[in-house]
Amino acid sequence: MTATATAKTGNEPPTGAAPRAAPDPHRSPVGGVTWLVLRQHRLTLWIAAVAFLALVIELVWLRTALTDYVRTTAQHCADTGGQTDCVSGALEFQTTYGDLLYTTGQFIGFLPLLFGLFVAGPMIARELESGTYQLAWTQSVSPMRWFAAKLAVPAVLAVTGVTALSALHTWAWWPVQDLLPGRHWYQGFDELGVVPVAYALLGVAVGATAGLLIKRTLVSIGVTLVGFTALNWAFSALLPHLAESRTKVGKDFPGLGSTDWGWRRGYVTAGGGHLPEETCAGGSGAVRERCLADHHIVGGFRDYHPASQFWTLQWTQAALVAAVAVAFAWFAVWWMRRGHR
Amino acid sequence: MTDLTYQPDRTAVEAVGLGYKHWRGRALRDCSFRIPSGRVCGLVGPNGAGKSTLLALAAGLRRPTEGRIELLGHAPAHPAVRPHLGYLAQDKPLYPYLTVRETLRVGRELNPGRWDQGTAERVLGKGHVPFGRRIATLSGGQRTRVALALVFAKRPEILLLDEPMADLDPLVRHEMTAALMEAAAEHSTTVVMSSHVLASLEGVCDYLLLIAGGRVRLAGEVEDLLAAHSLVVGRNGAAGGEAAAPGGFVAGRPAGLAPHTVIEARTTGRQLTALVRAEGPVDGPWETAEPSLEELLLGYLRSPGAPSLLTPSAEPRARKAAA
Repeated sequence: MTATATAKTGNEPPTGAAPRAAPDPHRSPVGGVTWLVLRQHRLTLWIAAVAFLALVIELVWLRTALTDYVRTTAQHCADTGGQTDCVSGALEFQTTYGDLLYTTGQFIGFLPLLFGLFVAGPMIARELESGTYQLAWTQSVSPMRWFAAKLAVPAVLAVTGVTALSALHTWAWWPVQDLLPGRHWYQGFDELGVVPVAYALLGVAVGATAGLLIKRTLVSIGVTLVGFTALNWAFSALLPHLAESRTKVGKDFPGLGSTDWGWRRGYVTAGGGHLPEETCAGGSGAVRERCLADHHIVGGFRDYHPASQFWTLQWTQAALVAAVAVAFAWFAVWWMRRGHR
Repeated sequence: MTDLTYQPDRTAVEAVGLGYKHWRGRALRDCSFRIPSGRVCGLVGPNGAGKSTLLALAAGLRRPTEGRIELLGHAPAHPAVRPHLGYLAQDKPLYPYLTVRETLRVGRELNPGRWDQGTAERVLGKGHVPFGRRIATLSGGQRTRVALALVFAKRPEILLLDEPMADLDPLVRHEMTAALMEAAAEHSTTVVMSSHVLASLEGVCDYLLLIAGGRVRLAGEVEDLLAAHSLVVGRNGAAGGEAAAPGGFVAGRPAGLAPHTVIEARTTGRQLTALVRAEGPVDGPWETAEPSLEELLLGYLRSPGAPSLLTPSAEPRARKAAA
């Protein structure tokens, strides 16, 4: 359509009419839309940088302190002929270091959501809400470039920051993973390894998509919160199915090793079939006995993942989350491209 | 038809069957017009006529729901058009936490190869806008200056300005208008400037686009549009016509003006005043005069049913070629 109209009217935008601007000696290495995005969010960047450095220092210190404590206490336990769980039994160990490691891990787990809520979404929605997008979208640089920068800058920063923090957290956690109660690999799964990095991408993608489509800062924050939480819940529900699960069968519910993640249990019938635990849940002894007999239940089973599957589950989960993040980003780019080149 | 000058020059803006519908209803319908290059075009109409929508469509910020609009022969979003287009929205959006200096840097960063810092500083310098101040702390007039500096320094070929001078005091408005005219003349920039203050366009614009109710009512050279109309004054009921109700609008066409298109007729006491699009000489006991721009615009605004008029240069060429 455009081409034919051009041919008819013979109109061509002037090309080469603009004299080249002299190279700017004060030009910083970061220019164009990227400079604008970084300048607009300078305060946020400073806050993030300070928080990042504080966490890095804290995690390095924590790792050193944890390994030192474990070494000296284990030595002390051996010298005094203490029990085997001498280290993990120490109350001081739990309250001094365990709680701190737990809190830090929780915070790292929340970082992707925070990025989506307060960075990726509002930085787009606020411009659409306040009207400054009209300034940005009518310059020589295309709105698509503007959006690409609004997507890429928080994505790069979130991935870099979360990768570093998650690596440090995993490094600090590694030597004490079986010593601290409630800190097994499956309990801090979303705060360890590569999964937080994928979630950081998801947070940015969901936040940016919500900001672009909703165009209202507060509403997009709310929608991001609900959307991200729902996705997180779905991914967690899916997690045990991402690697081949093992099953133990016994007379009652069989016991598992301390590092095994038992994620499902139920009943085994005489025919060898598996029934969910809820089949005969509740009821007094006699009622339960009758229920078990009615269903020809002869024993129990447990589905579990051994600790050796940690990295398999990590990479599979991360790939899945990242794929959904890419899908969101792709949709947002498509939506933007639909209206603006 | 009167002898209207026809200049087959370059087309700056052209709309064919342009329509825009949003969730509140229809803002524009079936708008077809053409603005030749190098003109200073006043975009006039009452509040809510669709002026801002039209400019936003021309700037590529919105996409037409019907028809099309083209700048320099391309869709507004075309990468070849974008560097040559300057747009200033009605509320003059600027980043409030950036300083004036940083705001100019935004212009430089987002317009590589086109930005002219000297132009920007010239526009700002006259008003003594402090470069270190944040935008949020500036007065309305100062903000308008910064916004204008930003569009001027891009050296656009087409300038789309939505009520640019609305919040300036008369002195600054005069100065800014002069700066605009100077810049436009120097680079033969096409300017499309909306306003609902008709007086502010007199002597500034040589082209006119009147829209009301989402439709184009008048389009063309101001001179030709004025020449095509006559203001006719005579005695109410003269030449055997029916007497109209005094003090009101005349419902029908006053007799004696039969061969002409009566845009609007009204009576004051025994006097009848009519704005007509004359088809040949106006005969009868009438005094005729060329209307002022304001009289012409008011006449059309008061008579929504009057037929639209596009001078030949304002007729879209694409439609002609297609027909």
